[in-house]
Amino acid sequence: MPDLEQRIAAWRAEMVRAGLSSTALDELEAHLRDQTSELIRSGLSEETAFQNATRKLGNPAAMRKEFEKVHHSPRSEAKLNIAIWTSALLLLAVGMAAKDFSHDRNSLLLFANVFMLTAGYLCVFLSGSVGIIYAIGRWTQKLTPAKEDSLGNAARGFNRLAAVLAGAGFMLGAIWARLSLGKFFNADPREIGTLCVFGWLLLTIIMCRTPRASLPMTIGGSMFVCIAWLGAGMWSSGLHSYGATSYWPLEILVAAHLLFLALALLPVNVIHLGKAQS
Amino acid sequence: MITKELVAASAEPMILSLLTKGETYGYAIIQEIKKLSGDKIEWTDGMLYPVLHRLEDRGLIQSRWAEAENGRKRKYYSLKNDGKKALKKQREQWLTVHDTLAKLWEEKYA
Repeated sequence: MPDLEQRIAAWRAEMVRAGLSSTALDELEAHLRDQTSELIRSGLSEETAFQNATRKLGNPAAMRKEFEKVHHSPRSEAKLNIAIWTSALLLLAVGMAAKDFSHDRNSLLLFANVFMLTAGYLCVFLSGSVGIIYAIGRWTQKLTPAKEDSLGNAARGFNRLAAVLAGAGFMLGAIWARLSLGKFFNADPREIGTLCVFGWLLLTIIMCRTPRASLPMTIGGSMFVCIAWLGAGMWSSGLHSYGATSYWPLEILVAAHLLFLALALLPVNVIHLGKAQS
Repeated sequence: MITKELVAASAEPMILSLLTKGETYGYAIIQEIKKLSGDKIEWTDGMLYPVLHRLEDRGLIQSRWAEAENGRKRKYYSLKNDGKKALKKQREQWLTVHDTLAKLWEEKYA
Protein backbone atom coordinates (compact mmCIF):
# COMPACT_ATOMS: atom_id res chain seq x y z
CA MET A 1 0.00 0.00 0.00
CA PRO A 2 1.67 3.24 -1.07
CA ASP A 3 2.08 5.89 1.62
CA LEU A 4 1.21 9.57 1.21
CA GLU A 5 4.69 10.55 -0.02
CA GLN A 6 4.58 7.85 -2.70
CA ARG A 7 1.10 8.95 -3.75
CA ILE A 8 2.24 12.57 -4.00
CA ALA A 9 5.32 11.54 -6.02
CA ALA A 10 3.11 9.55 -8.44
CA TRP A 11 0.64 12.47 -8.69
CA ARG A 12 3.51 14.85 -9.42
CA ALA A 13 4.89 12.60 -12.18
CA GLU A 14 1.40 12.49 -13.73
CA MET A 15 1.13 16.29 -13.61
CA VAL A 16 4.56 16.67 -15.29
CA ARG A 17 3.32 14.37 -18.09
CA ALA A 18 0.22 16.58 -18.36
CA GLY A 19 2.59 19.49 -19.05
CA LEU A 20 2.50 21.44 -15.80
CA SER A 21 5.70 23.28 -14.89
CA SER A 22 7.67 22.45 -11.75
CA THR A 23 7.10 25.96 -10.34
CA ALA A 24 3.31 25.52 -10.63
CA LEU A 25 3.58 22.01 -9.19
CA ASP A 26 5.50 23.17 -6.12
CA GLU A 27 2.56 25.38 -5.23
CA LEU A 28 -0.11 22.85 -6.14
CA GLU A 29 1.66 20.21 -4.07
CA ALA A 30 1.65 22.48 -1.01
CA HIS A 31 -2.09 22.99 -1.57
CA LEU A 32 -2.68 19.26 -1.99
CA ARG A 33 -0.88 18.54 1.29
CA ASP A 34 -2.92 21.16 3.17
CA GLN A 35 -6.20 19.84 1.75
CA THR A 36 -5.30 16.21 2.43
CA SER A 37 -4.31 17.01 6.03
CA GLU A 38 -7.61 18.76 6.65
CA LEU A 39 -9.64 15.90 5.21
CA ILE A 40 -7.71 13.40 7.36
CA ARG A 41 -8.46 15.57 10.42
CA SER A 42 -12.15 15.47 9.48
CA GLY A 43 -12.07 11.68 9.78
CA LEU A 44 -11.29 10.36 6.30
CA SER A 45 -8.65 7.73 5.68
CA GLU A 46 -5.36 8.89 4.13
CA GLU A 47 -6.22 7.23 0.79
CA THR A 48 -9.72 8.74 0.55
CA ALA A 49 -8.51 12.15 1.73
CA PHE A 50 -5.77 12.17 -0.94
CA GLN A 51 -8.18 11.11 -3.70
CA ASN A 52 -10.71 13.77 -2.69
CA ALA A 53 -7.98 16.42 -2.52
CA THR A 54 -6.65 15.60 -6.02
CA ARG A 55 -10.20 15.66 -7.39
CA LYS A 56 -10.80 19.09 -5.86
CA LEU A 57 -7.66 20.42 -7.53
CA GLY A 58 -9.34 19.97 -10.88
CA ASN A 59 -8.47 18.92 -14.39
CA PRO A 60 -4.69 19.08 -15.13
CA ALA A 61 -5.21 19.98 -18.82
CA ALA A 62 -7.47 22.91 -17.89
CA MET A 63 -4.92 24.10 -15.30
CA ARG A 64 -2.08 23.84 -17.83
CA LYS A 65 -4.05 25.95 -20.35
CA GLU A 66 -4.67 28.65 -17.74
CA PHE A 67 -1.02 28.72 -16.67
CA GLU A 68 0.05 28.94 -20.33
CA LYS A 69 -2.22 31.96 -20.85
CA VAL A 70 -0.37 33.70 -18.02
CA HIS A 71 3.11 32.93 -19.38
CA HIS A 72 2.42 33.40 -23.10
CA SER A 73 1.10 36.91 -23.12
CA PRO A 74 0.46 38.86 -26.36
CA ARG A 75 3.66 40.87 -25.65
CA SER A 76 5.89 37.80 -25.61
CA GLU A 77 4.18 36.44 -28.75
CA ALA A 78 4.92 39.75 -30.48
CA LYS A 79 8.61 39.51 -29.48
CA LEU A 80 8.77 35.98 -30.88
CA ASN A 81 7.25 37.14 -34.17
CA ILE A 82 9.80 39.97 -34.41
CA ALA A 83 12.63 37.50 -33.77
CA ILE A 84 11.36 35.08 -36.43
CA TRP A 85 10.90 37.77 -39.10
CA THR A 86 14.30 39.31 -38.31
CA SER A 87 15.93 35.90 -38.65
CA ALA A 88 14.13 35.24 -41.93
CA LEU A 89 15.27 38.59 -43.35
CA LEU A 90 18.85 37.93 -42.23
CA LEU A 91 18.81 34.52 -43.89
CA LEU A 92 17.48 36.09 -47.08
CA ALA A 93 20.28 38.69 -47.02
CA VAL A 94 22.87 35.97 -46.49
CA GLY A 95 21.37 33.87 -49.25
CA MET A 96 21.62 36.77 -51.67
CA ALA A 97 25.26 37.33 -50.66
CA ALA A 98 25.97 33.62 -51.08
CA LYS A 99 24.94 33.66 -54.73
CA ASP A 100 28.47 34.95 -55.40
CA PHE A 101 29.62 31.44 -54.56
CA SER A 102 27.10 29.78 -56.86
CA HIS A 103 29.60 29.22 -59.65
CA ASP A 104 31.55 26.88 -57.37
CA ARG A 105 29.40 24.23 -55.68
CA ASN A 106 32.12 23.28 -53.20
CA SER A 107 32.59 26.87 -52.05
CA LEU A 108 28.83 27.25 -51.65
CA LEU A 109 28.67 24.10 -49.54
CA LEU A 110 31.57 25.28 -47.38
CA PHE A 111 29.97 28.70 -46.97
CA ALA A 112 26.65 27.13 -45.97
CA ASN A 113 28.41 24.74 -43.55
CA VAL A 114 30.34 27.58 -41.87
CA PHE A 115 27.27 29.81 -41.73
CA MET A 116 24.98 27.14 -40.25
CA LEU A 117 27.53 26.05 -37.64
CA THR A 118 28.37 29.63 -36.67
CA ALA A 119 24.67 30.48 -36.33
CA GLY A 120 24.05 27.26 -34.39
CA TYR A 121 26.94 27.91 -32.00
CA LEU A 122 25.76 31.48 -31.48
CA CYS A 123 22.31 30.14 -30.56
CA VAL A 124 23.96 27.82 -28.03
CA PHE A 125 25.83 30.80 -26.55
CA LEU A 126 22.51 32.70 -26.38
CA SER A 127 20.79 29.84 -24.58
CA GLY A 128 23.85 29.50 -22.33
CA SER A 129 23.57 33.21 -21.49
CA VAL A 130 19.95 32.63 -20.48
CA GLY A 131 21.14 29.75 -18.27
CA ILE A 132 23.77 32.01 -16.68
CA ILE A 133 21.11 34.67 -15.98
CA TYR A 134 19.08 31.94 -14.24
CA ALA A 135 22.13 30.84 -12.20
CA ILE A 136 22.87 34.42 -11.10
CA GLY A 137 19.18 34.96 -10.35
CA ARG A 138 19.19 31.93 -8.00
CA TRP A 139 22.18 33.33 -6.17
CA THR A 140 20.74 36.84 -5.83
CA GLN A 141 17.21 35.50 -5.09
CA LYS A 142 15.74 37.91 -7.62
CA LEU A 143 13.90 35.38 -9.75
CA THR A 144 10.13 34.93 -9.60
CA PRO A 145 8.63 31.65 -10.82
CA ALA A 146 7.16 33.53 -13.81
CA LYS A 147 10.63 34.80 -14.79
CA GLU A 148 12.12 31.32 -14.37
CA ASP A 149 9.53 29.90 -16.75
CA SER A 150 10.18 32.73 -19.25
CA LEU A 151 13.92 32.06 -19.13
CA GLY A 152 13.28 28.33 -19.55
CA ASN A 153 11.05 28.93 -22.59
CA ALA A 154 13.67 31.21 -24.18
CA ALA A 155 16.43 28.65 -23.54
CA ARG A 156 14.35 25.86 -25.04
CA GLY A 157 13.65 27.91 -28.16
CA PHE A 158 17.35 28.71 -28.68
CA ASN A 159 18.31 25.06 -28.06
CA ARG A 160 15.91 23.77 -30.69
CA LEU A 161 17.07 26.31 -33.27
CA ALA A 162 20.70 25.52 -32.43
CA ALA A 163 20.08 21.78 -32.87
CA VAL A 164 18.57 22.32 -36.33
CA LEU A 165 21.39 24.66 -37.42
CA ALA A 166 24.22 22.53 -35.98
CA GLY A 167 22.75 19.33 -37.43
CA ALA A 168 22.26 20.89 -40.87
CA GLY A 169 25.73 22.50 -40.74
CA PHE A 170 27.36 19.20 -39.84
CA MET A 171 25.64 17.41 -42.75
CA LEU A 172 26.66 20.13 -45.22
CA GLY A 173 30.21 19.94 -43.90
CA ALA A 174 30.21 16.16 -44.37
CA ILE A 175 29.04 16.51 -47.97
CA TRP A 176 31.75 19.14 -48.63
CA ALA A 177 34.38 16.86 -47.05
CA ARG A 178 33.26 13.97 -49.26
CA LEU A 179 33.56 16.12 -52.40
CA SER A 180 36.79 17.87 -51.42
CA LEU A 181 38.68 15.40 -49.25
CA GLY A 182 37.20 12.07 -50.33
CA LYS A 183 35.60 11.14 -46.96
CA PHE A 184 32.41 12.24 -45.20
CA PHE A 185 34.08 12.22 -41.79
CA ASN A 186 37.77 12.88 -41.17
CA ALA A 187 37.76 12.79 -37.35
CA ASP A 188 38.93 16.40 -37.30
CA PRO A 189 38.67 17.84 -33.74
CA ARG A 190 36.17 20.42 -34.99
CA GLU A 191 33.98 17.70 -36.53
CA ILE A 192 34.11 15.69 -33.31
CA GLY A 193 33.32 18.85 -31.36
CA THR A 194 30.28 19.57 -33.54
CA LEU A 195 29.00 16.02 -33.06
CA CYS A 196 29.39 16.38 -29.27
CA VAL A 197 27.55 19.70 -29.25
CA PHE A 198 24.75 18.29 -31.42
CA GLY A 199 24.49 15.24 -29.16
CA TRP A 200 24.29 17.44 -26.06
CA LEU A 201 21.55 19.57 -27.67
CA LEU A 202 19.52 16.46 -28.53
CA LEU A 203 19.97 15.13 -25.00
CA THR A 204 18.75 18.44 -23.58
CA ILE A 205 15.69 18.48 -25.84
CA ILE A 206 14.76 14.85 -25.13
CA MET A 207 15.47 14.71 -21.39
CA CYS A 208 14.27 18.10 -20.20
CA ARG A 209 10.48 17.83 -19.94
CA THR A 210 9.98 21.29 -18.47
CA PRO A 211 11.48 24.62 -19.60
CA ARG A 212 13.18 25.20 -16.25
CA ALA A 213 14.92 21.83 -16.33
CA SER A 214 16.79 22.82 -19.51
CA LEU A 215 18.41 25.91 -17.93
CA PRO A 216 21.40 24.20 -16.26
CA MET A 217 21.88 22.08 -19.41
CA THR A 218 22.25 25.22 -21.55
CA ILE A 219 25.27 26.26 -19.45
CA GLY A 220 26.77 22.85 -20.21
CA GLY A 221 26.00 23.33 -23.91
CA SER A 222 27.72 26.71 -23.96
CA MET A 223 30.78 25.15 -22.27
CA PHE A 224 30.90 22.38 -24.89
CA VAL A 225 30.76 24.94 -27.70
CA CYS A 226 33.72 26.79 -26.13
CA ILE A 227 35.66 23.52 -26.10
CA ALA A 228 34.47 22.46 -29.58
CA TRP A 229 35.11 25.84 -31.19
CA LEU A 230 38.10 27.33 -29.42
CA GLY A 231 39.58 24.20 -27.92
CA ALA A 232 39.49 22.17 -31.11
CA GLY A 233 41.26 24.99 -32.91
CA MET A 234 43.85 25.19 -30.16
CA TRP A 235 44.46 21.46 -30.00
CA SER A 236 44.43 20.51 -33.65
CA SER A 237 47.25 20.72 -36.11
CA GLY A 238 45.25 20.23 -39.26
CA LEU A 239 42.66 22.18 -41.18
CA HIS A 240 41.25 24.19 -38.27
CA SER A 241 44.38 24.75 -36.27
CA TYR A 242 45.01 28.11 -34.62
CA GLY A 243 48.55 27.20 -33.71
CA ALA A 244 47.99 28.31 -30.13
CA THR A 245 50.64 27.46 -27.53
CA SER A 246 48.69 28.15 -24.33
CA TYR A 247 45.18 27.30 -23.31
CA TRP A 248 44.50 29.73 -20.48
CA PRO A 249 41.61 31.59 -22.24
CA LEU A 250 39.79 28.28 -22.66
CA GLU A 251 40.61 27.24 -19.09
CA ILE A 252 39.12 30.47 -17.75
CA LEU A 253 35.98 30.05 -19.87
CA VAL A 254 35.48 26.45 -18.71
CA ALA A 255 36.05 27.38 -15.06
CA ALA A 256 33.51 30.22 -15.31
CA HIS A 257 30.96 27.86 -16.85
CA LEU A 258 31.51 25.30 -14.10
CA LEU A 259 30.93 27.99 -11.49
CA PHE A 260 27.64 29.04 -13.09
CA LEU A 261 26.65 25.39 -13.43
CA ALA A 262 27.16 24.95 -9.69
CA LEU A 263 25.00 28.03 -9.00
CA ALA A 264 22.29 26.59 -11.24
CA LEU A 265 22.33 23.10 -9.75
CA LEU A 266 23.21 23.31 -6.07
CA PRO A 267 20.35 23.51 -3.56
CA VAL A 268 19.46 27.12 -2.78
CA ASN A 269 20.28 26.78 0.93
CA VAL A 270 23.81 25.63 0.04
CA ILE A 271 24.30 28.56 -2.35
CA HIS A 272 23.25 30.99 0.39
CA LEU A 273 25.26 29.29 3.13
CA GLY A 274 28.04 31.84 2.82
CA LYS A 275 25.54 34.71 2.93
CA ALA A 276 23.79 33.34 6.01
CA GLN A 277 27.02 32.84 7.93
CA SER A 278 28.26 36.35 7.13
CA MET B 1 -25.33 28.01 -7.40
CA ILE B 2 -23.20 30.90 -8.66
CA THR B 3 -22.49 30.74 -12.40
CA LYS B 4 -18.88 30.16 -13.42
CA GLU B 5 -18.84 33.47 -15.32
CA LEU B 6 -19.72 35.35 -12.15
CA VAL B 7 -17.23 33.31 -10.12
CA ALA B 8 -14.51 34.15 -12.67
CA ALA B 9 -15.40 37.85 -12.75
CA SER B 10 -15.44 38.20 -8.97
CA ALA B 11 -12.28 36.18 -8.27
CA GLU B 12 -9.85 39.05 -8.72
CA PRO B 13 -11.57 41.61 -6.44
CA MET B 14 -12.14 38.88 -3.83
CA ILE B 15 -8.47 37.88 -3.83
CA LEU B 16 -7.26 41.48 -3.69
CA SER B 17 -9.74 42.26 -0.89
CA LEU B 18 -8.59 39.26 1.15
CA LEU B 19 -4.97 40.31 0.77
CA THR B 20 -5.76 43.72 2.32
CA LYS B 21 -6.10 41.78 5.61
CA GLY B 22 -2.51 40.61 5.33
CA GLU B 23 -0.23 38.04 3.73
CA THR B 24 -1.80 34.68 3.04
CA TYR B 25 -1.52 31.56 0.86
CA GLY B 26 -3.63 29.82 -1.75
CA TYR B 27 -5.30 27.17 0.37
CA ALA B 28 -6.24 29.69 3.04
CA ILE B 29 -7.72 32.01 0.36
CA ILE B 30 -10.03 29.26 -0.87
CA GLN B 31 -11.12 28.29 2.65
CA GLU B 32 -11.83 31.93 3.58
CA ILE B 33 -13.93 32.55 0.47
CA LYS B 34 -15.90 29.36 1.13
CA LYS B 35 -16.53 30.43 4.74
CA LEU B 36 -17.50 34.03 3.92
CA SER B 37 -19.95 32.91 1.21
CA GLY B 38 -21.55 30.29 3.44
CA ASP B 39 -20.26 27.53 1.14
CA LYS B 40 -22.10 29.10 -1.82
CA ILE B 41 -18.89 30.00 -3.65
CA GLU B 42 -16.57 27.08 -4.24
CA TRP B 43 -13.66 27.62 -6.55
CA THR B 44 -11.93 24.79 -8.39
CA ASP B 45 -8.83 24.73 -6.20
CA GLY B 46 -6.22 24.40 -8.93
CA MET B 47 -7.66 27.29 -10.97
CA LEU B 48 -6.89 29.79 -8.21
CA TYR B 49 -3.15 29.58 -8.87
CA PRO B 50 -3.13 30.79 -12.52
CA VAL B 51 -5.19 33.77 -11.29
CA LEU B 52 -2.62 34.46 -8.56
CA HIS B 53 0.23 34.18 -11.10
CA ARG B 54 -1.58 36.56 -13.43
CA LEU B 55 -2.04 39.11 -10.65
CA GLU B 56 1.63 38.78 -9.79
CA ASP B 57 2.65 39.21 -13.44
CA ARG B 58 0.57 42.39 -13.59
CA GLY B 59 2.42 43.70 -10.55
CA LEU B 60 -0.65 43.83 -8.28
CA ILE B 61 0.58 41.25 -5.76
CA GLN B 62 3.93 39.74 -4.78
CA SER B 63 4.92 36.37 -3.41
CA ARG B 64 7.58 34.70 -1.31
CA TRP B 65 8.32 31.15 -0.30
CA ALA B 66 8.47 30.57 3.45
CA GLU B 67 8.40 27.64 5.82
CA ALA B 68 4.94 26.66 6.99
CA GLU B 69 4.03 25.29 10.44
CA ASN B 70 4.30 21.75 9.05
CA GLY B 71 7.94 22.40 8.12
CA ARG B 72 7.23 22.41 4.38
CA LYS B 73 7.66 25.28 1.94
CA ARG B 74 4.59 27.34 1.21
CA LYS B 75 4.06 30.33 -1.08
CA TYR B 76 2.64 33.45 0.54
CA TYR B 77 1.06 36.34 -1.32
CA SER B 78 0.72 39.97 -0.31
CA LEU B 79 -0.79 43.08 -1.85
CA LYS B 80 1.35 45.72 -3.58
CA ASN B 81 0.54 49.41 -3.91
CA ASP B 82 -0.62 48.94 -7.49
CA GLY B 83 -2.89 46.17 -6.22
CA LYS B 84 -4.46 48.55 -3.69
CA LYS B 85 -5.12 51.07 -6.45
CA ALA B 86 -6.59 48.39 -8.73
CA LEU B 87 -8.80 47.14 -5.88
CA LYS B 88 -10.10 50.65 -5.23
CA LYS B 89 -11.20 50.94 -8.89
CA GLN B 90 -12.77 47.49 -8.92
CA ARG B 91 -14.60 48.21 -5.66
CA GLU B 92 -16.14 51.35 -7.19
CA GLN B 93 -17.27 49.36 -10.23
CA TRP B 94 -18.80 46.53 -8.21
CA LEU B 95 -20.59 48.94 -5.86
CA THR B 96 -22.04 50.75 -8.90
CA VAL B 97 -23.37 47.45 -10.25
CA HIS B 98 -24.64 46.44 -6.80
CA ASP B 99 -26.40 49.78 -6.16
CA THR B 100 -28.08 49.72 -9.56
CA LEU B 101 -29.33 46.17 -9.18
CA ALA B 102 -30.46 46.88 -5.61
CA LYS B 103 -32.58 49.81 -6.81
CA LEU B 104 -34.06 47.77 -9.68
CA TRP B 105 -35.00 44.89 -7.43
CA GLU B 106 -36.32 47.18 -4.69
CA GLU B 107 -38.57 48.82 -7.27
CA LYS B 108 -39.68 45.47 -8.64
CA TYR B 109 -40.31 43.80 -5.30
CA ALA B 110 -41.52 46.83 -3.28
